[in-house]
Amino acid sequence: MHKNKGRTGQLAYHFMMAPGMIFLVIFSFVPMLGIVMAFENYVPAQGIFGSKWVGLANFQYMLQIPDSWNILRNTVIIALGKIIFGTIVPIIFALLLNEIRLKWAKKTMQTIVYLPNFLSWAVVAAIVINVFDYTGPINNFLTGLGMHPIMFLASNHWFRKIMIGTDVWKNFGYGAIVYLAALTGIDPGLYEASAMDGANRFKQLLHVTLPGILPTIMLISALNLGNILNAGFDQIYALYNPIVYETGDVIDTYVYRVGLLGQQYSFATAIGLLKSVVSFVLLISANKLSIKFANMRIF
Amino acid sequence: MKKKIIAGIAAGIMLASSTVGLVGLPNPFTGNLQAAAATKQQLKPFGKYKKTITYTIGKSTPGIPKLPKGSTYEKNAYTKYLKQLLNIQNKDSFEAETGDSYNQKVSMAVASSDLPDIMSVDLNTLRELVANNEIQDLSSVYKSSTTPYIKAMYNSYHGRALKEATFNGKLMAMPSTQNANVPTMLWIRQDWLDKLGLKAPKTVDQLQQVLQAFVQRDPGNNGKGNTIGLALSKSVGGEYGGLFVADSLFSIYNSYPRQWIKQNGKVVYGSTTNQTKQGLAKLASWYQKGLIDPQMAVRDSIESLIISGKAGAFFGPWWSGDYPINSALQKDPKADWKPYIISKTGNGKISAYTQDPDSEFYVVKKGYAHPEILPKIVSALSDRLVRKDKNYKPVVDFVQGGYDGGKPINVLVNFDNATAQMYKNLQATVDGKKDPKTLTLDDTTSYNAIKTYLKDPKNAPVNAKSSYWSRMLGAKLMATTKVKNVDSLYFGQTKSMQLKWSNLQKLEDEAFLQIVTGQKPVSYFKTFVRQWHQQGGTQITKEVSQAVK
Repeated sequence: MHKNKGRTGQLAYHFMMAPGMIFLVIFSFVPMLGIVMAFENYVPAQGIFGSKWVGLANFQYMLQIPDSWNILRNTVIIALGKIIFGTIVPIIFALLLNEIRLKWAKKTMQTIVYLPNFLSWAVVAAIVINVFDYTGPINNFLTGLGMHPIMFLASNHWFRKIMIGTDVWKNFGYGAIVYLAALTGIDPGLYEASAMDGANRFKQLLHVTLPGILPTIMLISALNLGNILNAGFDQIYALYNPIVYETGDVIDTYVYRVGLLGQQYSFATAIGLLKSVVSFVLLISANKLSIKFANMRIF
Repeated sequence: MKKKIIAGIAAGIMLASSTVGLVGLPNPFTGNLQAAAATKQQLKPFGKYKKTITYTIGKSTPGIPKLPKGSTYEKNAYTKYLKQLLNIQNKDSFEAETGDSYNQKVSMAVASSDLPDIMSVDLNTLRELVANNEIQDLSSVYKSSTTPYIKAMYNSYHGRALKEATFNGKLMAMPSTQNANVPTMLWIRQDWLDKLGLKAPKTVDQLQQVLQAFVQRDPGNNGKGNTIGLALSKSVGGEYGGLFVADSLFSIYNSYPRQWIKQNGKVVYGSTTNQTKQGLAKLASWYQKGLIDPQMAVRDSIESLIISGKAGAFFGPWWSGDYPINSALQKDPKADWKPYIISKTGNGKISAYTQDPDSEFYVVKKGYAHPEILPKIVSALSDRLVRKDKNYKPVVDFVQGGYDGGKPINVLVNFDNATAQMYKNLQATVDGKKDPKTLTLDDTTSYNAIKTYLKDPKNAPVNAKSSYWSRMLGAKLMATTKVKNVDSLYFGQTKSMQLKWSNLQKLEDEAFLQIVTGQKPVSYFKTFVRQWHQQGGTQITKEVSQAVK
């Protein structure tokens, strides 16, 4: 009797989960069949089953062109930069915001920095282009100081930095919210106790707050590792140009240009597949490391 | 166990969401849902249908949306005309701006095998669609449903026009023809020249001096440092009859970038020649002197430079008066743009590469029941409407209002020497040697505008001005300039190009732009050529040589 009741209870949960699972199967599992294209000379009309099988030819070509390494390097550098600064900045911001005592000021600021997260990159890109324009505010400032204006978005020196910087600016408000939530989860009793022991606010930050949100930080950084090869397609596509291909062309933009516009579906899929495999390996190793060193499972 | 399953699923999500695999599962819904085929009566060019026939299209729209208020691309003067004449109505599967955005939409449609009934594609896509058996043979409907006038226009290219669209003797598309459109010319601010007391440039050196004067002396009162000498496109050169590309300059050095040409008896790719290096070096020196738009690499809309009155010169075809200068005039009626020819010695003799006789190809999806609708629309819009029905009021108003983009399917068919002929007809009519009533619709509209302009050139309305500049100044230069034609030999895609061409183009775009903007020295050209050959260029050159033999 009792046992049965438990089962029906579980069944209800399974039903609740069903739409999500169906969604997952349709949009994530079924499309994975497309991976086959990487080993074919895929022609849309002939379909996956009709196209000619070419084995590893697409991968061989990929290793031949010098662009591959260049693109991989760009992707990793930009993505790493985004992960590192995209983790540090929100933490610092959340910690600072947490120290503000005026509740309305805290809330207002939180909302304001959260805003850019809702804008699409097409919009933000237009803003970025204007800000970094030859006659935009930044260059006006530089010329005001007697320096030469810099063409930021057509400079291989600056392009990656701007990609990382603008991405962090757009997203840190969102990241901060997660950490703020983690901060509220810390037992206030700990603060009282540490104050009793003579800890000043900085010491409290160091010994109570940071250890308190450490699991969240670990979790989010580890999850981010899976994104190490996602350097952000929309952003870079909206901002790059042929001059900065050298430093700004990443896997996704390359796949888009070559695969869809150049209609080399198979070659593009091969690159995409390689990217997925690398991401997958990284994620698994992140999990292993996190189990070993922090005794925490991501999954 | 459970944990493992969850881990598996989570890993799956990660993998799937980071897979950029392009999926092209066959679409089960592309069957033939249309009614029975056309009767003999309906196959005639202007045979009207009893029931309204709806056809879906991929609509490419003009750069600046210029429909009259209240009109849409599915409902305007032209669609109304087609509805009345043939009882057909378009439904737009997608609408996208001509150029990159439209091409992207087409790529998506092809990749997902979800084609509209009729759309325009480029040569490579046409070949792909033919190879994949996705479009219809139009041979018989071309015969039955095209008027003799349209056929005569296609035939004026001596068979070249339809040849590219013909595969194994079957006509697979109706191409838009490209009548000769060279030379492109230098358009320059005449009012700036006058203000500075300068003569119109005839040689490269004179042009350099003029640009220098524009930039240094700021005749347009844009503020110091804000005047741009020459507006230039990111692609730098190699677009036939294109706007904002420096082909006119390159040809002075006998350079024909992005064209397969014959040099010393061998087939070479124009972008890799020493002559192209010279052209790039000249542009690079101009860029360094500040004569070229310093932000050319990141400039999204070059038109905006012309419209806002910041730029003093650009290279463009004869129709530049209509676009973008028309928009510039609306902002500043005093902007006085005039076309000139730049040549090596200043004698006005130039060379130019020839082009593909076809610019785009209109195809009909396999399985669509009314393939004859395409030649019928072409016959209606490019024959009947411009000749017999040229006084059809809604369209006359549309054209005279300066609007654009109304035709659902814009197959541009014209005689090979059409532009020069247009100029000659208009000039003859202005001189009173030709009866205005014998002009076509477009020419009548132009003639009226020219008349308005000639009455009071200074205060003429914008459309009259831009029309006069394009047709009486630009087209005149086309009709009268002596041009030595250099044949561009190959427009298709060889076997190795399929995999390697995108990468080589990237290399080329990158090198051109980096050399011009001084990010790489001119000597880098040698490295570029070496890399180009190493990464497949040598093989492709061999294949092209084979193909053109």
